[in-house]
Amino acid sequence: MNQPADSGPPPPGLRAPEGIPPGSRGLVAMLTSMRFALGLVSAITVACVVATVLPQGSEVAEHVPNNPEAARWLKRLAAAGLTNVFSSWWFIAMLTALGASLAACIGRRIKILRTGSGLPRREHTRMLGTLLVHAGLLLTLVGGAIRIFFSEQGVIQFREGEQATFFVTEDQQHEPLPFALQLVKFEIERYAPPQAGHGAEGAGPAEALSVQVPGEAGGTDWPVTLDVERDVITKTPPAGTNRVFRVAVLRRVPDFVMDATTKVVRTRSEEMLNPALLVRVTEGEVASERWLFARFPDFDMSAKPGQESLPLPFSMNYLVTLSEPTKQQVKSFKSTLRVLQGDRVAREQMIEVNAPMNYGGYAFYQSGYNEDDPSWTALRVVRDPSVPVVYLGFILMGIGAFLTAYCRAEKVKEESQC
Amino acid sequence: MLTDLFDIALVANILALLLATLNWFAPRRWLDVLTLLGFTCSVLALTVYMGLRWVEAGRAPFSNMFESLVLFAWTIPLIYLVLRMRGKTVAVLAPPAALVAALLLVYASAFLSSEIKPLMPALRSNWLAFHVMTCLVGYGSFAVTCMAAIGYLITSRAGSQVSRETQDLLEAVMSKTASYGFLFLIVGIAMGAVWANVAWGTYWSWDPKETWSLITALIYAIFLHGRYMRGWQGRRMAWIAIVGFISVLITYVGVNYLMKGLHSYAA
Repeated sequence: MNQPADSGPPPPGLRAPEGIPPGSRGLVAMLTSMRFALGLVSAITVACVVATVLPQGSEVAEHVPNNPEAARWLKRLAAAGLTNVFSSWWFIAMLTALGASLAACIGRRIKILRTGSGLPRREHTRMLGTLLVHAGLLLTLVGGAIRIFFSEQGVIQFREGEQATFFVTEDQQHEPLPFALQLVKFEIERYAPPQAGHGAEGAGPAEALSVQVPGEAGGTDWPVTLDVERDVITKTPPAGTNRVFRVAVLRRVPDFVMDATTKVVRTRSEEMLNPALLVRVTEGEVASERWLFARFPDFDMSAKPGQESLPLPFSMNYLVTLSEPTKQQVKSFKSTLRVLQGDRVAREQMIEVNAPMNYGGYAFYQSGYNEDDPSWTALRVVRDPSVPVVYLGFILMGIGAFLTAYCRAEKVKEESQC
Repeated sequence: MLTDLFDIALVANILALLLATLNWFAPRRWLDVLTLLGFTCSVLALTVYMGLRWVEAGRAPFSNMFESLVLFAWTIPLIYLVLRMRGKTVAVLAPPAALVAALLLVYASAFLSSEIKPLMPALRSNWLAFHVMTCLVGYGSFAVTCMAAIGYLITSRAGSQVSRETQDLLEAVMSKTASYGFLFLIVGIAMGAVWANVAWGTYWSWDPKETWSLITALIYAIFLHGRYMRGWQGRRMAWIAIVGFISVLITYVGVNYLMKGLHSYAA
């Protein structure tokens, strides 16, 4: 099975190219040579591997401080163009040669398909498939070249209500826009917080009123529940009689603040910035109320200003375990943009990641935001005439690869040319 | 329910492995049928698993390593079944296919979190499903190519008792699955490029994952040109297929952990 077919007379397209000046025949023969194509593709493959293994571009500057001894080697590699592989002249030359080889192969295959009416249908379809793959790849390379020479890219950063009439390129040049762009609104959408009670982040702080009786190991942590009285029993040496205290939480304040004049306690915010508990301790007919502070465990304060807190044969602490303030993960960030042509609103559109706005040959992409300044947004601006060419290349490659895989010839032919 | 389906797929692959190994040593028709049944169960269970997860998450379940490993484990038995449907009686490939699928599921369940997490803004796109699925089907095809290549290298050693017919079959499987894999890989790369252009305004940025997927495509392009245009055969093709699959592994796993880039979230 799959033995190379006996070589008979080559099909018309395999013969020496006709209509080409003799001096160019050698070049065309080389470009259509399978050996040349395979060697070139292998070289490009190796170059790509090198580019992912060695630091490239700005990575080199980051790499040197961490590996000072590598600086000397990096200098040599840089001189050889190995630290900027994808923009080096030799890599671009290889891609250009690949493009030339593809063009030569396409020309040859078109000739075969035109003249090769005797080809089996399956073989004809397969050849059409490989032609389309090659044409698609060539278009992609051409698109890349168009992008290098004719595309414009930059950024716009502005706040709600502001207008931009230019964008800033990578080399900090101001490129004018043929219209004005206004940021009408910017919003950040977040995922809903996880359900409470599952130990999820952001479920709230853990709070407890901790009571420690001297001489007893451990202690007791009570949940902070308002107006629920609990007993604390202590033994008084040396007689050992029991004293029973009743403890109740009367009030909980997340961010304690007291008016200096009126002595009225209130909370400054709902954030747990200075959490405090008002606790009433009762023994028989005697009761006292005091404030406990989570952030200042050694300090308590009588609820009645001017009166000292009664001494107690046990200690109380207000324990609060604050999780780091967490914000829910960002789901999307969106800018509502208005295009202004003079005084006229030409378009108003909301953009977000994966949903850019195209207008006047420019595409505006949502690219950044500032957590601390939610009215600020960053847009990426691209004018890239290569996109349709590259997309057409992708479509041709996909169709071609499908035809090639589906109609792969059962018998393998040995050919010296692509 | 999800856990049950996952377990069914895992058990089906383990049973397929045992049955296929028995069938390799003592070929019986019923063993072969049961092996195929095991693969079918695995594919069906994982199909329903991914479908339910898709519904539960409200997005395609291909956004992290756990989910992509499940998809990878789904593709290998599927490709084996497709080969059988296309008339390639490659019973010799059933044990490694079942083994690899089972190991992928075991690794995913033992070492990776199956929690459904919300997506970052850039991943909230319909392109996610198309791009990842096509690439993973390509990787699955290349995995079978690699299995056939290793099988070929073992069976074609001097003094091997395995028939020439089996070797030819393995070689044919190598070529066929490499063709399928190449098709899916380049379509997957193209979809990724279109998605990148929609999300970031650039269809190609020489990101390490992009570059390694290109390297993989180029290696298999060399394989296919060598095979179909130059008539390369035998052990040379097998070695290229193995090198190609090493490149697949670097693209799929290595890049996520070793290199910084636009695909770092995939780790």
